[in-house]
Amino acid sequence: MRNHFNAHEVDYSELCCVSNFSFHRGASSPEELFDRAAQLGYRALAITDECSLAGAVRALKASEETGPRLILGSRFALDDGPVMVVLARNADGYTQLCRLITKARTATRKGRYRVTCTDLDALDDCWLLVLPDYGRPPDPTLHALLGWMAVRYPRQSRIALALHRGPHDLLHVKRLNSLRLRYGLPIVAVGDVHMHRRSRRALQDVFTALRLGTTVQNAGHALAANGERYLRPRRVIGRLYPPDAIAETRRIADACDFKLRDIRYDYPAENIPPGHTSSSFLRAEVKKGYVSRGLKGSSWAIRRQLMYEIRVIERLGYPHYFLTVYAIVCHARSRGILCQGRGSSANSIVCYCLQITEVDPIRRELLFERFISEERAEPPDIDVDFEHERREEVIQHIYRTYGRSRAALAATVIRYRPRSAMRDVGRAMGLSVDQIDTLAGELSRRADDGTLPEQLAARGVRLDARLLHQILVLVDTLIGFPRHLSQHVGGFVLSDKPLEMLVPVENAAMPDRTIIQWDKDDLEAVGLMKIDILALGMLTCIRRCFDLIAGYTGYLWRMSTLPSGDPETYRMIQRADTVGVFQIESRAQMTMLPRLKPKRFFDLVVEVAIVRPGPIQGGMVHPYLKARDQKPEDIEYPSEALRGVLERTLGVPIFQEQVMKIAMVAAGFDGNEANGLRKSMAAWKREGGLEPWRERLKSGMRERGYDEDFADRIFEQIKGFGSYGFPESHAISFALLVYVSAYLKCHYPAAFAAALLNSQPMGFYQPAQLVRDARRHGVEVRAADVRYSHADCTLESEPGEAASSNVRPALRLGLRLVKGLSPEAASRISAARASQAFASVPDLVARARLDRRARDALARADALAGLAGHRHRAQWQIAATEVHDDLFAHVDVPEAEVTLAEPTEAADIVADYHSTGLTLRRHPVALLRPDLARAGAVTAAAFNRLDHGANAHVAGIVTMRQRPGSAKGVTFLTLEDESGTVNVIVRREVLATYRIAVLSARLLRIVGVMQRAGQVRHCLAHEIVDETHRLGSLVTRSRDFH
Amino acid sequence: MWLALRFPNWALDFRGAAAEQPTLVVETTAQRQHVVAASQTALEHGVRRGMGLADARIRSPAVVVHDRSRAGETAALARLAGWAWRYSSQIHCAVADPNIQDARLIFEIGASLRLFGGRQRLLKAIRDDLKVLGYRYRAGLGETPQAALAFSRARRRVSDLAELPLASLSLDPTTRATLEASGFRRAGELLALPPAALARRFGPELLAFLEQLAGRRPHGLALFERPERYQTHHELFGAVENVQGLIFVLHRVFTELAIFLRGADSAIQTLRLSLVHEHRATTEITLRLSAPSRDARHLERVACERLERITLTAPVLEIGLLSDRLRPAEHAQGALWQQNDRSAGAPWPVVLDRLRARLGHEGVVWLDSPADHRPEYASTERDSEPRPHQAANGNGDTLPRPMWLIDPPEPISAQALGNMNWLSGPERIESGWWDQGQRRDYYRALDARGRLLWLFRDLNSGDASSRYFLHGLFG
Repeated sequence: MRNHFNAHEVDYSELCCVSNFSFHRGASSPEELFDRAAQLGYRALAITDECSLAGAVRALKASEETGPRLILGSRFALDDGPVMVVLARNADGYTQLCRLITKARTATRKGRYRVTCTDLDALDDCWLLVLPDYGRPPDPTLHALLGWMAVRYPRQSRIALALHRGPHDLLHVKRLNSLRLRYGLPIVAVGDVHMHRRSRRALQDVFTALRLGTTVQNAGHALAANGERYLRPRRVIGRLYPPDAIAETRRIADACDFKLRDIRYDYPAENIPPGHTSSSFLRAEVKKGYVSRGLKGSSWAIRRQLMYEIRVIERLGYPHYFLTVYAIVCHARSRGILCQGRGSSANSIVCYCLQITEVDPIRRELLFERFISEERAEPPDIDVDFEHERREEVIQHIYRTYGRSRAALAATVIRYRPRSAMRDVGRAMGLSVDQIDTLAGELSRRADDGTLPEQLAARGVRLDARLLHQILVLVDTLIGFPRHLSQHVGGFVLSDKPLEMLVPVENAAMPDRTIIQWDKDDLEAVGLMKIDILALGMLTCIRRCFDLIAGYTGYLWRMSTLPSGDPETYRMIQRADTVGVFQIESRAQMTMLPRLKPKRFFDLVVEVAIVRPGPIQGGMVHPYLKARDQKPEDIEYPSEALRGVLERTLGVPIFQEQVMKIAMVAAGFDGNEANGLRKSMAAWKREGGLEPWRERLKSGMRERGYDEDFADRIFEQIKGFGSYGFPESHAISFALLVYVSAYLKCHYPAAFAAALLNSQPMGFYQPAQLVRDARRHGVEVRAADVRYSHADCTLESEPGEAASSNVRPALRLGLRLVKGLSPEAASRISAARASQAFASVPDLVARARLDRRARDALARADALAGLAGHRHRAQWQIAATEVHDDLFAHVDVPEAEVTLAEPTEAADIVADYHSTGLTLRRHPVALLRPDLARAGAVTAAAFNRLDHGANAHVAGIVTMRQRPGSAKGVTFLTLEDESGTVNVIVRREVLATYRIAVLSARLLRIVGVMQRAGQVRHCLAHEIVDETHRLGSLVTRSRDFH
Repeated sequence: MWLALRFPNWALDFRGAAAEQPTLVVETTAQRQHVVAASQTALEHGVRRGMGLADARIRSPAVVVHDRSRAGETAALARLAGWAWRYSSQIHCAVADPNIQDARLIFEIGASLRLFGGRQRLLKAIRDDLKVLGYRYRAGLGETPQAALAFSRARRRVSDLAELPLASLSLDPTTRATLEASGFRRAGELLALPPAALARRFGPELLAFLEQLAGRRPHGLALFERPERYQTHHELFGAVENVQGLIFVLHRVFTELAIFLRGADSAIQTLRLSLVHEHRATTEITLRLSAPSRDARHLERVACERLERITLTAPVLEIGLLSDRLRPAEHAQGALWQQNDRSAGAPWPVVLDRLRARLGHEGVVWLDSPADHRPEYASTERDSEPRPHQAANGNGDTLPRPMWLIDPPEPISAQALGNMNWLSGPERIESGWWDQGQRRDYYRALDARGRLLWLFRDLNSGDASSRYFLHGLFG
């Protein structure tokens, strides 16, 4: 019976189609689906992801680019019931749909949803399409549902017919027909589409297997019997479906006229006091700040800039946005939480007046290149960093102020990367975990050159060549697919109306966090506002440092009151004496400092931005250093127009903004195009797609008379920037923290070191290195001691010394460094001591209620030395001391004196490292010095005096290993001995020989050559000896490959 | 006198593989995978126990990794304890626990010294046996089990109990840490301390241990009891796919059985051999001898004979043995193996014939219908009973499938096609892309003779004339 209903192309729209935002179900992206729908001449395409609108904005963009109209809807597997598709008819229907999804998603844990019939009660502006199960007679649940729908939504309910050339197609049509007659609900034709083309079928099977936690081989009938669930040509549709069902589909498609662009978002209104408009209040608050910041009487240029900014903000309708950020910042300030804004809008005079940023535009001599781009419809961008340990307080405040319904985090779409793609495909294809790991490892090492099966076989993984090929193709397709929604690091979306009226909200993995289903780019496209509430360890450190300084000088610094342009601070920075300083403490930054020699604030901005993979890979560093040695008039610019863009950075593009500006000035891009270029720059490593820009850029530059060579170079630089290009607007804010932390380190080394230690873990260095650095700067560091230490590190100055800035306080290590001692126990100790000093070990144990773990921890840290003598004695004594409610409390046995050997110096050093990670005794390498000297190694200090090219022989504890992607296979090591540190370069060919030693040794001896360029010294390794055995049981820590 | 045998890499060695390839066994605790045993080659690459897996991979990139099987370790150690019956009636065995990270076997040998002709000879016999088994071990001799174990754990060779380092004693880790932090290094220092001072700090356990160590108190260890039956499971390294491979593996399985039977001086008459597959029912083979025997080699031959006649339904992951009740052996059979089987005159072919007669080849075939969309795969023959499947469709409609499948499908001529009366279709079946992919449109049709046929058009075939096939007849 091959009777076809209709052999010509029918007018068709697809009402039921999932994209790959239905995780582990849809096998094509919204873009692919729309492309294909356009080719096939579909009138409209509904994206009905499973209980989700996460792909909606992408679908909208795809629809606008390709033609077919977007219908928004969602698909639900009802609890114990059939599949239901809900389509939004209009804006109210859209809100009803968002509410339904929100309710279903928040009713259960992350990644799941739950919809029952009763949840469908408020969908008066939606279409409801029921898909009865195929190959199964209607069950009572279906009858009940249809019966209810026929009464509740007689006009909006439809029975959806999906045909895929299965074994029961005729029967299915018959059954649906009888349902139609029984309930009076029309039948619509749908494709129940899961992929844009048949070829995605294998991937769809993989998804099915993953969803069911099995393999494709074992999934059996859970897999689709064929690959018909793709976007089928209209001719096929016409042949397959009854004409009245197709006609009904057309009617429904035409009756959906909701446009996502029409949703209206409003900023929260509560930050404006009665009697004010948002503009008048913004102006009033800015004026207040203008006075309190001491800008009164500043230059005309400043005033003009301020007025310009306010006008732009008003014209674009952003006063609410600035006031919302202002309100959050004000709250943080009232709680003494340090914060600092960054981003293109943050470094404005308005933000300076509103105290969102501490970057003083006048003192810092900054130019405002880009405030808010008027030609782009891009919302303003302010990120605010808060102290990392107190950000949660700010977040809780936001939830309290706006309520959970009006505040949620933006989502981040986590996408498949090569490794995760391999893991999932491997799992679905029945590979073992070890096979998957091996395969992933081999793939990351090399491109498939055809020898992969042999390479794998050599490693014990035998795979059939065909299977392997299939796996590789699947992995390749899967990479870049969305995998799940995660929470954005700190991007809050705040709204005047409940958020669920605009976008579905779901649970995040963290308890008490909710996320909306759209990510950052989606928000931008539909004009929602987000504020980034971020955490920054250095702010914690700076605030603690201010507090510590105030503790002994009585003077409370603020970031804005620290003297700017302090020459002593800059001299310290030029020496690369920057352990602990924000950003410029890394090895790469430290080798750059003596070459760049920062002298003023803008140099720090450059320093922050230039030591990044982007500029390094783009080859900007050397030209910039060279230009710094030239006279300004000798620097050549390709054109006068570009001089304007590049003059501040001596002709070399360093900031992301400059690259965009070049595209605009030299190639005639408009603002939106430049923004598109920026986004492609961020994504090309992942997705490719930079080539169209190359053509566009080069032709634009040709037209404006730039030579081919220059155009190529600019393009390469753009590529090099990749996702690492650093915006100046962020670099400026970071540079301020660089300056502040450097100033504190320079003038208050003890307070700075204490603040850093109290904010651990953060930054590049371990406590041992921070303490050693403080001591090198003349800070007296005192050991942790139950008689004097608090939980945190503290400053001790001699009693009677007048509180003044000339005091050089000592740094007392805190009990927080003692491994195994809980913070509660530490604070009980200082609390008990506050009332009365401890008389003895039993007195300490009794009054501070120390359990066994705490007692052992203190003894091993040597923190009992003042009460009990050397470590061994302390341990022996404290092991016998019990708290009162313990078993032996009443037994005060007089005990025979046991003779305990005094620990050797080496044993003490080992124990110090074990317990606190650092020692105030000799450096461990000092003890090994005679042996190392016999082997021929000299100290780091002696090494650093060598001339360039001299033979070198050093040894030390490995404190850092790095292999920057930009360094062509070179590995960097930092070795530390009693006199200082040595930076070692291990070339690729040397690494091959000494791989294990380089990767895992803790004490290394290196024979090599001194490489010296001014203040920058490296030891180029030729021969590497693992000397770890000499350390015995000493535990050392290294920062490896971060 | 006690002998302690400590097996540092038991988690790997118990599996009995002496692979060339560097091999590791890892265990996951608190999200971290760490090495619990390593092969010799892996050790030579610098892998150490306790190391994280990532670290180990850096040192030995081509390493093969297995997950730990504690059950397997315990079972294998019990087998080994059975072996020790030959030398001792007081045997203690234990696998890794928090105090002692190694599997160990400790047994009293003083009573057997004379029987074996002195200490040297006894120890040599033990060494030879262990060599056959291929386990890596450390041995220690002491007056008490605790002392013997401590001597086996001492890194440097010490002769005096007092000289034993603290680290070699089986102490609770916290106790040991406190003692070390108090500056103690050797067992002698502890034994010299006032007992009251120790008890006050570490409770009675430490005192008890020290007294047991010095032999001033009974050792208190649980002794191994001879099992009623021989029952073991051997996990294989990877799946064994053919009978040849299986026979190779079985040799070791039966070696252990041999050692056990000889040690326990027992005989068995029936042995059930189970071959465990993934996703398939276990294949079970029962070997029955005409009389009890302790000649495991003979059993092995019988087993191999049987195996050669069967087809494996699926790769084998695990082998299990279960004997009937162990009974005392009636006659001594000397060395570990009958060195020369045929000359020893064991009438194994006769036994085998009897076995064949008794068990025979059952010509039974089970029909199975696995869940697969492809008709050929949805109906298969197996020689073992399949597990019941979930009814594929629940209460759904029965698939229109003929009882009779034509295998292989027959091409249909163009002329015959022309005379068909098409009833339904197409039903499109495209599946199995991961092995034998198919793309077909199926139809039901009546042919000129009125038979109800099941036909398909092969969508993969390019040639229009040969695209239709007859695949079945409806009854």
